[in-house]
Parts: sequence; C-alpha cells; structure tokens
Amino acid sequence: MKTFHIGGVHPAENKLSAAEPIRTAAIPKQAVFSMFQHIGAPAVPVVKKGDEVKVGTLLGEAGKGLSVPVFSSVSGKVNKVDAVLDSSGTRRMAVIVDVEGDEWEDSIDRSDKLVTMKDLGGITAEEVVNRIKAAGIVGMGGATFPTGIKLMPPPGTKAEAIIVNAVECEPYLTADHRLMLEKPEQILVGIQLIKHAVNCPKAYIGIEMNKPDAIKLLTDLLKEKAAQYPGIEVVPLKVKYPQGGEKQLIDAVIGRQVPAPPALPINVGAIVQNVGTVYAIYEAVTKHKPLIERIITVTGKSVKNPSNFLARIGTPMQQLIDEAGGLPEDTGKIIGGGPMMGRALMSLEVPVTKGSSGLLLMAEKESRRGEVSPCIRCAKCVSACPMGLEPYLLASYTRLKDWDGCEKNDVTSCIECGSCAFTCPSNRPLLDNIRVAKQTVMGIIKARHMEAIKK
Amino acid sequence: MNVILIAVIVLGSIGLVAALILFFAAKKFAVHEDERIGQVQEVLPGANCGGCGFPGCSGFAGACVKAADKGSLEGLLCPVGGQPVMEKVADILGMKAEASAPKVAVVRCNGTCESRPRIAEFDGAQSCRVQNMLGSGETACVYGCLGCGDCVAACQFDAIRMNPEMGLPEVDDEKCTACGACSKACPRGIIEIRLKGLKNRRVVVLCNNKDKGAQTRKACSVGCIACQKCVKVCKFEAITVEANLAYIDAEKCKLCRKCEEECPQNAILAFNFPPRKPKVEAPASAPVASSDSVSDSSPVGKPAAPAAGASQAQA
Amino acid sequence: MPNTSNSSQVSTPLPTREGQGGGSRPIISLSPHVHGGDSVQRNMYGVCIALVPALIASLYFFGLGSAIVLATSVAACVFFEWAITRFILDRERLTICDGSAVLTGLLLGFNLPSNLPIWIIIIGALVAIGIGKMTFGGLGTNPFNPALVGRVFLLISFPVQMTSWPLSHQM
Repeated sequence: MKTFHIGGVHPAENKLSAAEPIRTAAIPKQAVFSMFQHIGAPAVPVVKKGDEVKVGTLLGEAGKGLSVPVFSSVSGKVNKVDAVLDSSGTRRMAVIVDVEGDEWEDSIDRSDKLVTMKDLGGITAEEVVNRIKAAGIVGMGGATFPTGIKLMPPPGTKAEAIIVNAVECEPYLTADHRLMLEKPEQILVGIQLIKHAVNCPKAYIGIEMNKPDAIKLLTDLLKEKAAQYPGIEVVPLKVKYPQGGEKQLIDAVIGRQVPAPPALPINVGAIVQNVGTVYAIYEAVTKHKPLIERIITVTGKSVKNPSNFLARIGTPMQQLIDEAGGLPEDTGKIIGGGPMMGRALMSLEVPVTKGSSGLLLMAEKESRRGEVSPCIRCAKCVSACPMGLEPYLLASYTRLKDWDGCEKNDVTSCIECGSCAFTCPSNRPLLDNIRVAKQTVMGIIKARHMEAIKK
Repeated sequence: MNVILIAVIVLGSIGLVAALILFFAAKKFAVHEDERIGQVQEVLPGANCGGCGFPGCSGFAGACVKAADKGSLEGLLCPVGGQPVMEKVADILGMKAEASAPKVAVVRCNGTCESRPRIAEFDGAQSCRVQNMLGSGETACVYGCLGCGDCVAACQFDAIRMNPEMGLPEVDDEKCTACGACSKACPRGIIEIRLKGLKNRRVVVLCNNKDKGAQTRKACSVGCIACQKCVKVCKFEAITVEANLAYIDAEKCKLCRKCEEECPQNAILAFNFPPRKPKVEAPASAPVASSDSVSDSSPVGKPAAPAAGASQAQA
Repeated sequence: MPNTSNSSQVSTPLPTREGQGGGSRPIISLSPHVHGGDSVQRNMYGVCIALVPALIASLYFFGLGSAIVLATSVAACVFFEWAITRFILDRERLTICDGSAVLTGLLLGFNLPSNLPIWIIIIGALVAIGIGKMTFGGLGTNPFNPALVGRVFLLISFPVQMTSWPLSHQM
C-alpha cells in the first residue's frame, strides 16, 4: 500500500458523518463575505451600501498580485461594507448582505445536467484557466491558494502529473468523501479540465483506504467509461496523517520529493488539487458558476446530527450548528476545520468561507491540553515529523531565542501539521513554539532578502 | 646530573619551538582591532547585560566606534551607565554626546480584568507571541495586552512585572533603563519607550486600540475611542489622533492634565502627580490603593480602573 | 481571574450554554486540538513491561536473591525520589507516579549481583536517584542514565562485592 515515507501519525478517525448525504443548508438571513478568504492580497469591494446584488454578483474584485475575486452567494441588499471579525480572529474588510429572495445571475446554468468535455467543444486551455480565475476559485482543502495561479506553471516547469487530493486525512471531516460519492462524474470531468488546462496527460486520485466506497465507485466508473476519461487513475493510500499535505501526497502517489522552500510541487512536475476544488472548477467552467457554495462538515462527538452541508459562502456558522441539532451543552472548543490543523474560533458569528472544510465542536473535557511535563527525549516527535525535522530541538532553540539554530535546522520547512505535538507524551506545546520560530525566521530571511536587494 | 641536564634541554627546546610557533602564529593570524574599541570598552560598566541591544559590552563598544566613523552616536545608549558613561565614550571617540533625556518603558494598555472582559480562554504555550497568532486572543481587543508576560521574560533588569490582579505588566520606573527589550518582545507593540518627564510625571494615553470607537467600546471600557475631545482641550497641540487612536507627544506635553479630565473613557492617565486638590472629588479608595501597590507609577487622581480593581481585590 | 464577563458587552456573542449561566468562554488554542493520548507514564511502564522477560530469566537463574535485589532496588529508588521531591526540593507535585523511578530501580537491580548486601543496594539507589537524576533537575534533565550512574558508583566503591557473585544454580 502506498503512503509517504517520512513520519506521520494516525489519529482516531472519528468520521461520524461519513454516511450522511450532503444536505443543502438554508439560505441565511444575512450573509457576510470576507474580502480575505484566500492567501495573498485581499479583494477590493466594488459594491456599496444599498446596492442590490444577486447570487453570483461580483462583490470584490481581485486585488493586486496574488488575489481572487469574491462573489455574492445570496440575493438582496448590501447592508454595509465594514471590517468584521473573521475566522482568523482579526477584523477584516467584508461585505454584509441582507438577504431577500433567491435571485440568480442569468449567466449561471443552474441545471443538474452533466456537461462533458464533448459538450464543451473545442474550449482552449487558456479559456479554462480564465474561467477558473474569474470564478474566484481557491484551494478548498484549507490552504486557499488561488487555483488559477497554480494552473499556470512558471516557465521552465512542466506538469507531468495532476494529483487530486481526496485523502481527507483530517479526523472527523467527511466533506470530500461525500462529494466523491455524490458527484463522481462531475469530478472526473473537472480533472479532465485541469489536464486540458495544463496539457498534462496523467492524473491520479489519491484516496485513503478508510473510504473504500469512494475508491470502488471511482475505480468502477473509470473502468466502465475508460474511453471517456483516459489517463485517470485511482490510487488507494494507506491511512496516515498528514497524507493530505501537498508534499506528502506527491511522495505517496508518484514517489517524488519536493525540495525545501522556495521549491514548489511544480518543480517536480506535480500539480495537486483538492477534490473540492476540482468540483468547483467543473462548475465554474461548465456552468459559469462562481465559487459561492461549498461542502462543509459540521461534526463533533456531542453534536446531535453530524452532517455534511452544501452551504452558501457567507452563512454564519451558528446557522449550520442549529441545523445540525444545536450547540451541545458541553462544548469547550469550536474549531473551524479539522482537529489537527483547524483554527479555534471565538465566535459562532464567523461566516463560512471558501476554505471552511469543517466545523468541529469539541466537548470541554477533550478540548483542554494535558499538563506539560519535561521532555524525556523519547524522540517520538522526530519519528512523527513528516518533514524529517527535529521538533524538540526547534522548540528548545525557540525557547533560547536561537533563531540561527532554528534556521539551520530548517524550521521554515515545517508544514504545521501538528504531528509532533499530537504525539508528545509530555504534552509539550511543540508546534506553538515552532510556529513562533518559523514566523521569526521567515521575518529574518525576508529582511535579509530586502537588504540584499537594496545593495 | 646527566638526567637533569637532558630533561632541561629537552623541555627547554620544546618550549622554544612552541614559543616560536606561537610567535609566528600570532603574527600571521593577528586580528586587527580598532584600538578605540578597547578604550571604549574600558569605560563601559562591563556588566555584559545586553540592555543596549548588543551582545555584551564589547559588542556595544564596536557599535559605538562604527557609529562614530559614520559621524553620529545617535541612538546608542548604555542604559546602565547612562549619560555620564556616554559622555566618556563620546570623549574617546572625539564626538559630542547627544543630550538624551531619560526615558522609561510605558505599557500603553489599561485593559484590566474588570475593564476588558475575557471572552475566551487561552490554552497553550504561555507566550504572548503564541496567543497573538490566535487573532484577538482572550479578549475582544486585537491591540491590547495579552498578559502572558513576554515583556517580563525579556527584561534583564527585573523592572517589569505582571500584576496578577490587573492582568497587565507594571514597569518599575527606578529599575527601568529604557533599553527597549520589552518593547521589542511585545508582539503587539504596546510598550513605548517614552520620555520620563519632569519629576517622573507623565500624561499618557493608555491604549493602543486602532479600531473604530464603537468596536473599541465593546471590547474594553477604558479604550481610546478617538472622540477628539483631548485634542480640542489641549492648548499645546501635543495630542494627535491617528488611526482612531490618540497619542500625546511627550515633548510637547506641558503636563497640564486637562486631557485626563476630559477623556470620557478614562483612557488618558497621569502618573506620579500629587493627588488632586479637593476641587475634583477623588474617592478615598483610589490614593490608598495606589500607595499600596508595588509600582510607584500607579495612576493617581481619577478613580482609574486598575486602582479601583486593586482596592476591591484587597478589600 | 474573575469570570464575570457580561456577554451583552462583548462584541462577539459567546456560545451561551443554557444551564451554565452563559458565562463560560470557549477555549482557544493553536492546532493540533487533539492529542494521541501518549504519556510519560505510558512510556515508562512500557519499558518496564519490555523488561519482564529479563525479569523472568533473572528469577529463573538466580532465584530468590535476584528477587530481593530487584525489590529492594525498586523500593529504594521510589522512596528516594519521593523523599527528595518532597523534602529537599520542596515540590508540591510528586513525580513518583510517572514510573521513571520504578524503571530506574529495575535497571539498577538488573545491574547488581544477586547476593549484594541490601545496604549497598540502598546506597546505589540513593546515588542513582539523588545524584544521577534529581541533582540535575529530575525527569528529563539528567545527562546520564541514573541507573548506570548508580552502578558505576557502586562498582568503584565496592569492587569486591560488585564483581563476585554466585553462579546460577541452573548452570
């Protein structure tokens, strides 16, 4: 069974909502569209208070440099354009829309009919990328990197393999799993579109073995319609966290290692796209539908009905929780995303964003960290680290403020997967410290870079 | 006899060879060091405290010589030796010492446990920098003190301490050397190195919140809401409001304390003034509490939140 | 810290829980939010379990003598750990439950002849825990393996007793 080679852990899977079909969440009364739902520069609002918007109306155009536009997922009137608290815990510019009815822009095809490559005729690669960019699509696994940029390999590199990330290695989350079961053909068309866009003959779908139904469904489908979907292969992977990390997935599927930053996956010929992104690409290219809704898992051991929702972006989390049976009484921690890499939220007012893959409600007793005891040098963090780093060493260097030592020990390669802190028998906050070091060292490197440019 | 002679000759010649090697090695690998560095180092206190921001006194001496070559000693100060030492250094380097007014670290946040409700509970490595990565942290204020004491850990002089009742750090004016280590350690840049002022008296806006007034008020009851009242009342144009935050220029401030009275949020506080005349009725508890508290920089005058909080806790 | 936050003042409404007065606050921390459940104790007792075959072998070959040596060594190590943390270091939190002292005792016992007088074993345990471990700050901060520090000390101090032992009655 294929998997990545260095490190990794296996947290309890807890995929409580794996058998729950995707439900469409109700349209909220008020939707909040953060202008900062992606990595890079924030979008620039183009609407003002009182403007009428429809589903699919542009709210914010892409900012300078790395950025994507933001669209309305509801119809109604703009209440205000103001800074609001978002899932990152800071105030950022957002457009708030009071919902009235559900009117869609005419350009969007709302039918469920499958559109294949044949139906699209001779669509050019450029057109595919342009439609993806115009739809504001970002990586929907959580990294929220603008997809359009990823599909334009820099000169000198060539895509040799598209890898579809259907691993969903985070415990609890089932959004991607359900998507594959319910929209398999749309995903395959989406993959064809990506292959077409970057002119790459081969695509792999990496799925972990804890989703045997999805593996079977897609494998059978590909066998049945081999002529229609050539060059796509399902790769079953051993269950191991963090297999959904870009570098780990490339290692697992095609056995290539991405060098340390600033190297990108494309430097080894790979483009990784989350399966949710692939579906969004399908909808954007074939149905002209911008990224206005996504699938989000609302789960937790005490949640009455753990569910997978198709929710409009901008829906307040509170509403989704109400639809999943209300906030359990013993909630101690609210996590946007999965338990390994998600963010603890302070408020349920924060809206669903492009990168919200899940909402996890943890009971109070399981949300507190254990008592910290001294490092016993068992080196479990070293064997767990998927990047081959030495977390205990980096954490000690951070405590001693030895930033040179951190840099020499490749702190910048850390992918913040949390395997080290997960595995530490002494409950040491290894990743907390490494994050501090990573931030500082990145700052030092940047300053050095600027100095060099000045000279 | 013979044995002794041989021993002397052998050992002597080894010593001679070694001496020769050392001699040539010293010549060959001699490191040329500006002799002024040594001279400067001699007048420095030699505590190697790092308070100046350089690795030890030799590092500071090197920096002084380098700065002198560029033409100015500005920005270099040995916080331990202070002005007298800097004058000596300037003498050696043939420069004029900049007359630097004594400065002190000021924590520009007054969001105590009472005035700024905690809306979340932080769990993790006890470090402000870690908590700062979680957005606004335990309170709703994105600019306020996080209370984990990174500044306390950074202080070499034991001049800054956490006040557990307030949840805020307190600076000991006597011990503070204004080296700026705490200011650099604070991830939110709350600590300002500020002019100490006449007789240690200062009027400071104890807030760092750059949000709009309504949001600030929701997060904290003593936050600056940028109402401009202080700007209007100030006769010396010492107060400016930028990015929804008032700032008092210590050089222009004449310590009239008008703004302190005017501030509707109690965000402006005066330090080390004698208690106000009965004209303004100060509740009896405030001065009592401030005289009890550790620091001599407790605000006096208005019934400020920390003092009230401390007195409650003591009662 | 008083937990008196009035939720109506707060900009972002708390997830109020009925029955708890609505005053409880969500916990925030950086990821990961789950832990594998491993602990120091588990690690230490894991090693102890791994030593069970060796324990059985030593009982089989050296009989009662080895049992006495091991029991004394473990008991003495745990006692000294408790006494030092409690009385000398004056620490509130006792660490004897984490299993590290038991493990040190076992390892030290395995390093001693089966006919060693009990008082020598106790001295060995004192050196192992007192000098080998607690002097350096206790668990996790010891530069050498405490059991081996004890063994080396005994070997130097009592070379005769340490280097002569009864042959196994099974051989």
